[in-house]
Amino acid sequence: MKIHYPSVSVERRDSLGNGLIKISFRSPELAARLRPGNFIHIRVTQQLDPLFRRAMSVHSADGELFTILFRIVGRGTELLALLKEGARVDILGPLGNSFNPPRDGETAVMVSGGTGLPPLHFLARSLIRDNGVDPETIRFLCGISSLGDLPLTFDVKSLGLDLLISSDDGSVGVRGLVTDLLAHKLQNADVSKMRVYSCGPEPMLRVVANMCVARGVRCQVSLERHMPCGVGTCLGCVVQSPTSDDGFRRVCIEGPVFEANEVRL
Amino acid sequence: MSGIDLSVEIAGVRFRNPILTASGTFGYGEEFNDYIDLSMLGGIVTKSITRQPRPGHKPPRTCETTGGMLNAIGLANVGVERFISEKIPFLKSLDTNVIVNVAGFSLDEYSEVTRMLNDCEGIKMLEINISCPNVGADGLEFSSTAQSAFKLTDELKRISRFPLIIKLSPNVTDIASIAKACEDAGADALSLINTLVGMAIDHTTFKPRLTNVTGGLSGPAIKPVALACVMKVYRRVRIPIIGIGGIMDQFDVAQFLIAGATAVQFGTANFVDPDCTVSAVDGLRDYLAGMNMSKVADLVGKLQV
Ligand SMILES: Cc1cc2nc3c(=O)[nH]c(=O)nc-3n(C[C@H](O)[C@H](O)[C@H](O)COP(=O)(O)OP(=O)(O)OC[C@H]3O[C@@H](n4cnc5c(N)ncnc54)[C@H](O)[C@@H]3O)c2cc1C
Ligand SMILES: Cc1cc2nc3c(=O)[nH]c(=O)nc-3n(C[C@H](O)[C@H](O)[C@H](O)COP(=O)(O)O)c2cc1C
Ligand code: FES
Repeated sequence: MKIHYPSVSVERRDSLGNGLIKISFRSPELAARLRPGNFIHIRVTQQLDPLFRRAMSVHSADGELFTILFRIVGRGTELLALLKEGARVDILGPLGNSFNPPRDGETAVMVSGGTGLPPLHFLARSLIRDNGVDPETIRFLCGISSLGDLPLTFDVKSLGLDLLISSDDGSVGVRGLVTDLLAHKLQNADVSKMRVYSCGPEPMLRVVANMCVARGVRCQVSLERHMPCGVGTCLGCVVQSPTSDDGFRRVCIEGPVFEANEVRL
Repeated sequence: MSGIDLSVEIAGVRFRNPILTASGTFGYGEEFNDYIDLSMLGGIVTKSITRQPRPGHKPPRTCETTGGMLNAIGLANVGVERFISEKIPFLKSLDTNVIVNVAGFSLDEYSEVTRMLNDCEGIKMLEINISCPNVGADGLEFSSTAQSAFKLTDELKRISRFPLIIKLSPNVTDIASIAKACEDAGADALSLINTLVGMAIDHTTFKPRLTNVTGGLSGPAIKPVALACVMKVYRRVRIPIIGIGGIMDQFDVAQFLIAGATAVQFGTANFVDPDCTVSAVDGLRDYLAGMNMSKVADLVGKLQV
């Protein structure tokens, strides 16, 4: 199984402000193999420091192109952000598993926190485009810190689905946490007809997972961990799991998408 | 290009080239079978196998550092029984030399695992990870004194039907004297180095970055230390040395051979590029051709001082 694409070209790079960067890459073969939930592992330099690749969820994959959307938070992402159109990058992918789509008659509820948005965007987009799901049946709850992060949500908005935004400071959307929006959605809802998909900071995922498990809602969470190898060999990315033999699961290969009751966050 | 001989021999075992994978960085081999042709490699070393299964330490278990990483995986492995029933059948099918790494927390544990592996087909050598604390006794690592390293090697030599590689720790005052003790006890080869003890601290929370507080440092950052260890040990013993520590490409391989190693292991590099070992095999051939050399074995110990 091929996973190493040592020379993928950068098609386009956009700065969305607030340290948010969107990059699209051209690789017909890789683009065709990517599924919502998958991630790629990118070599940010050919030098030995930073040594490890950086993991990025796929934001969309279309024809010959695929995109990532990330925030500059340290040296690795700083280097990634410097990539120019035409540059060549060494990528491993597709890595990790993918989301289980909702069954007929089930509504998808996405719960996104900050830069946890890309895999949920990819999922929503592919449900609409490939699975013929009516956009209006998809609920997309999106938590951001403030107005400056609003551009994160633009691609979601253009999917024409039911988008609800919360911000920590109330500068855009509802003031408060995205988990409050979820709690509200779950009230009076027929939870047997819902499926929740979530990605974001772990404290947020913990609340989402607990809420869904308590209410008996089917829920998948996508986790982000430090990932040295990304292919299951270093055992560095494990999460505690009550359902696994040795108490752990590797996020890079058994995840990053898990059933909410499979992992202890 | 043709006519270049990459083969080396260690304790009567022939390796098609001097490039092996390091314990704990290559799983049980099967994890990489999807990505690379394992028959291109000189050999593979499994992760450390212990008497009982070990789940490993609580996360976070790894942390990136300048030019390297810290790990405190905690010798997570399936235990020798499941290793024999579930992993050996695959390893046996491989067209490369399989070396099983053995670890334990008492002399008895090492002995028992070694004895159980005696009945397995498909193993070429054992590598003994002696960087483990002797829990029932003084609690010091077997690797930390010449006496304890001698005693362990001597005991396992009596049991094992396979040639033994003793894997040395750099966290000692004089690695060469420990190497000598292992040779005196009958070790067939030595591999070095294991990781260096290190730690990383988050200055905003005052917390260590690893749950285990300290971990083992590996990667390019440790290469100079490893090269010096190989040279010192080469000057002291006659048995073959397998060099380990920060090796990323064919040039690093050449440097370790020049320092005195007969073969090398790639560890952390596998995490950066799953196919780094295979690329280095090709690269080594090109390097030798460029140096007008026809045999990789001719590099061994050729340091000019
Ligand atoms: C499967 C997966 C998918 C991801 N998808 C995205 C994405 O779509 N968009 C995005 O912006 N980021 C994503 N991340 C996080 C991204 O990988 C990290 O932000 C990046 O590795 C940081 O590298 P750095 O060198 O810039 O930061 P560093 O200097 O290494 O660290 C800076 C800060 O980021 C945190 N961090 C570092 N690595 C990770 C990591 N792997 N996961 C979470 N936090 C980390 C550190 O704890 C630290 O606080 C994803 C991570 C994983 C594992
Ligand atoms: C994640 C990780 C796990 C390791 N596990 C083991 C192990 O189980 N047994 C062992 O003898 N060495 C283990 N090592 C040490 C390596 O085999 C090697 O000696 C060390 O990492 C130095 O080589 P490198 O710099 O090429 O990684 C481990 C190293 C790493 C990074
Ligand atoms: S990142 Fe190495 S096992 Fe998951």
